[in-house]
Amino acid sequence: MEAIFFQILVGLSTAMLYWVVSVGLTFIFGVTRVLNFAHGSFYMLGAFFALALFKWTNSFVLSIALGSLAVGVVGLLCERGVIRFTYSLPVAFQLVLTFGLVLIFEDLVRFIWGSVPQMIRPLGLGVVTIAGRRFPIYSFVIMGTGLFLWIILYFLLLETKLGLMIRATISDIELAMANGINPHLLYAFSFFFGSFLAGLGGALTLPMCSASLGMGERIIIYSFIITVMGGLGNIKGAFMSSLIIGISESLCAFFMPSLTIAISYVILALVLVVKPEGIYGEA
Amino acid sequence: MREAIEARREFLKKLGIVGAGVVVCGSLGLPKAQASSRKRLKDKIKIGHIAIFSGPFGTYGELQKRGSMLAAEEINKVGGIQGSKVEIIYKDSRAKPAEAVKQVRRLVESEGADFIIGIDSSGVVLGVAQVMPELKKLLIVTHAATHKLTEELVYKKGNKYAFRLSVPTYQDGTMAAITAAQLPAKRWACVHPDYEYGYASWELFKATLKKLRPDVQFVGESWAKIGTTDFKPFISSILDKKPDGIHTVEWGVDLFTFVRQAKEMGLFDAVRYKDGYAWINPMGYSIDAMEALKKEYPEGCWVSGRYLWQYPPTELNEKFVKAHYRRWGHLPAYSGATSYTAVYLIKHLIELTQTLDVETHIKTLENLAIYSPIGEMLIRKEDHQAIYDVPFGQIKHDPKFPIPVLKNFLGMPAYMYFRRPPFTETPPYTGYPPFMSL
Amino acid sequence: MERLSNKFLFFVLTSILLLTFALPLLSGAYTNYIIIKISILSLYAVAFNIMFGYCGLLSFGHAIFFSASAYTLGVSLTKLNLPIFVALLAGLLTSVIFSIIVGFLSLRHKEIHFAMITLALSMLFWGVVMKWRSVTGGEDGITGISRSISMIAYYYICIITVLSCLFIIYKIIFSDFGLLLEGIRENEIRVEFSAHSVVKLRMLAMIISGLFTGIAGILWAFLDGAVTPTIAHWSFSAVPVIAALIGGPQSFVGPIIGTIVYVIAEDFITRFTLYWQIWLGIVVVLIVLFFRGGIVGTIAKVVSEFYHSKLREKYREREN
Repeated sequence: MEAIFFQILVGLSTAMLYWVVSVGLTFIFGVTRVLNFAHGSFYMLGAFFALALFKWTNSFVLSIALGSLAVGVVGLLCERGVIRFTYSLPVAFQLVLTFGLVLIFEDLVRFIWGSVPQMIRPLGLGVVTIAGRRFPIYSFVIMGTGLFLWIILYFLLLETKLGLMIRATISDIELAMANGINPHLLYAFSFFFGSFLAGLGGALTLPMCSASLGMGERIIIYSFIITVMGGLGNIKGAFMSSLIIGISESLCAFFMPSLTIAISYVILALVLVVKPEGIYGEA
Repeated sequence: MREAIEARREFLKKLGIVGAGVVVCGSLGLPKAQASSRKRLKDKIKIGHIAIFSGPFGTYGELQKRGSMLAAEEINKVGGIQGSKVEIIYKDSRAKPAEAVKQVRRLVESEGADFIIGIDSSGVVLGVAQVMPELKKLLIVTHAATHKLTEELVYKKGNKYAFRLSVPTYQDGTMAAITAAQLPAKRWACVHPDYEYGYASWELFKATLKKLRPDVQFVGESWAKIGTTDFKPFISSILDKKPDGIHTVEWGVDLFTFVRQAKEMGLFDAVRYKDGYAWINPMGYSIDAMEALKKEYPEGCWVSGRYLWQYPPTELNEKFVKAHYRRWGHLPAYSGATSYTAVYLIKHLIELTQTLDVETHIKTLENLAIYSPIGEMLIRKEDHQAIYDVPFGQIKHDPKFPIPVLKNFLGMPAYMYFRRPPFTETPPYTGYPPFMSL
Repeated sequence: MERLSNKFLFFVLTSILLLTFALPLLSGAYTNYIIIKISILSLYAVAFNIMFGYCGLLSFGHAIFFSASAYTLGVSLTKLNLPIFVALLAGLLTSVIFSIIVGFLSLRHKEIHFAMITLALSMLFWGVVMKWRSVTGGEDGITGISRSISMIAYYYICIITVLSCLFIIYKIIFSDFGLLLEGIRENEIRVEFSAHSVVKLRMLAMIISGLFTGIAGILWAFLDGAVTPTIAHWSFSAVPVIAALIGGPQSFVGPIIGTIVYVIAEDFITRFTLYWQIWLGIVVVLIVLFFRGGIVGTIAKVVSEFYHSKLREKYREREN
């Protein structure tokens, strides 16, 4: 029983990381209706930017903050420079366009940082003992960031004028435009914010693993699964499905270790067959 | 030098293996005068080198490139292969079999490659080896470890065109188990990457360890997919089984993540015994892992590779390691060493046979003894596998070196732990010999 | 006008393909190999485009049908030692069965939901392929599928098969059935009112699409003699998507042009550099940005504008 509890706790920290990244994708889709395939690349960029900044400043908090902001700027540049020209095209064209961006970013990173995966020194935050097991304190940092993000988003969307504009755009863009909302400003902001979150996720993984090529490709599939499962553009749905995917993967590693590879697809297929619009429906 | 070769030949004969010839792969090659008196066969000898250059395992292409490029530069500096320059063409396999096959076809049919070397993963090597008879070129594998290549494709199906210079999964399974048998641990568990290499290594490990130590138990398995960023669920579910020994064949970027998280969560402490950790990681002493983890990899873990820069302590190896360090600023990785040897092997093969005819090359390579930086190798006729031993050792942090070094080597002659045709019996063979004093 | 340009392009393409019949006599083995690959992937893309271009359903799961037939063929030939015709039939049958299953689960949904459900199902299939090691060989896949004929003979078999499949698909698309499909894409309710079952029509399209994808899968399995899980992965489902979007999903030849452009660009780039991704990425981005709606659509537009301006000139001259 203790083991299962621990397994759930571990899954929770994974889930929170998935949430931070996939809410960015969800946010971008909700506002702009673009499925951004390059979201995984932004995640990778976050890790590499934080790595470079950490070597330079030697402060982890600073490198996470600056690194993810820099990724936000990259996201903004991509939107203004390339993606905005394709808003009028069907969603599939944006997928292919952002796939092209993925290829470009992969090689840019390889060119700048080389193909050897790189790590920063361990932060040495230590561990706490829970249920007779050691649990890294850093995982609490990730969980805390995830929950903090949840609160911030809640506040941002419900209490601020910007949030009102965003919600208006998500629910009906024509009406929002008729009421004087400049959608392009909002699109640019959503790309900045969404990419910032992807970069934050990437930077957050840095003390746990390494910054490496191809790390974006692994996370993008999870982000898609979570975004679709929760209901496209639905932030609450993304939160719930992050929890479901993270915890069920962790439990699967305990009960059926050799099936972990497929569990998230099984869940996604089941949810979609029963409820095609996702758990909470499309926003 | 001649005496040294003779001594090696004697040594191999004593082992009961009659080599058809002996070549020296490395910068101590045949005298220059002798080489240049022979006729030039071709304007340029082209070698196609296929490896993974992009994606998470892109490092492995880079590591191989260091080896083969160094060899080509050394050879070209002293006049090439009988006057013809060596050119190496690098291609990215993307770890996809169909892509690799396409690149091999292009190298041979369009870019005029005479040999193909390299290749990283097992699916890719099986796909590529299969088209070699159609292309009629030699394939010298320098990294992919699947024993299916030599046991099934070459031995059972008679594909003569594939040779392998790197150690197969025998190192990851069999030799790992022989090392494990020396340790006090009795409850073994594994954390493996979830694909063929992981399964094969674990099966070999279990079979050999059960044979050597009937008293051990296998208490748990964990299969983490390639590219896992969070090993905590796998580590904690393994901890729950209370193992006192861990066998893991994680490699590359996954290994970095795994070691760091295992250390945090106390998996190392769980397998501690009085002289170190009952932690067997056959690919642990890969240069990329050591350079990334450095002191983070705990002292006293048992690790190995498909070649270790410290072993064998021969003049040839020392020269290679120094040359590699001078050229690239890094110590050589195993796949770099095998790629280096492969290029030199091609040089000597051409000089020995005076032809570019593949059939002659195959006949010459079969039962050929090679004296290389990696050690004495014999290419077994039946399965085209180069037989050489790589010991396991315990990690030691040494401030004199940029990366941790290995101590307490534990090794066994390769012919005792490499599976033998017809590949039904579980090694080690003929009793349980004492370990080589290294 | 679109019909006309379609036909014109189709004839141009046919003559190019006819030229390819003479090619093995003129060019090297590698060129033949690449043309075989292009022809197989073209069939894959055109079969995919039955769903995407004509039904308006973006499938991210066509790798299921492709790999199902390839794997069935591989297993029947190497493990069960069945005769080749039985293996071929078994392969095609599996593709059809899987397209019925996938269609049954997914066809009620539209747009992005259809894409995602097919993606989920295809990754589920991929999981089975990876895990059912005793049959599929896991990550190593199945090797040793012998085609027992020379590459040149196989070249002709591929070209003839692909051409006749394309011809059949062309006939289907420009039949009443194809028009109905396009009708559904444009206005579902109107077709329903004219006493046609939308789901049934779509299911039929799915089966046809799956069947031809299965044929492409079989040709692929024989080409390298190996089947590996990479052809069941979602990234392989993306291959025809990219081809169709580059070439233009609204025309019959679009996916073919897309495949040709993509394969040749990739081949050309990897010849010169190991940093192939950045160049390929730039090519993809530029094509999406500057050939809005695909290469074929853009060219057709330019041609028709030119044609119209000529007409206008003529008209003006006559007035003067």
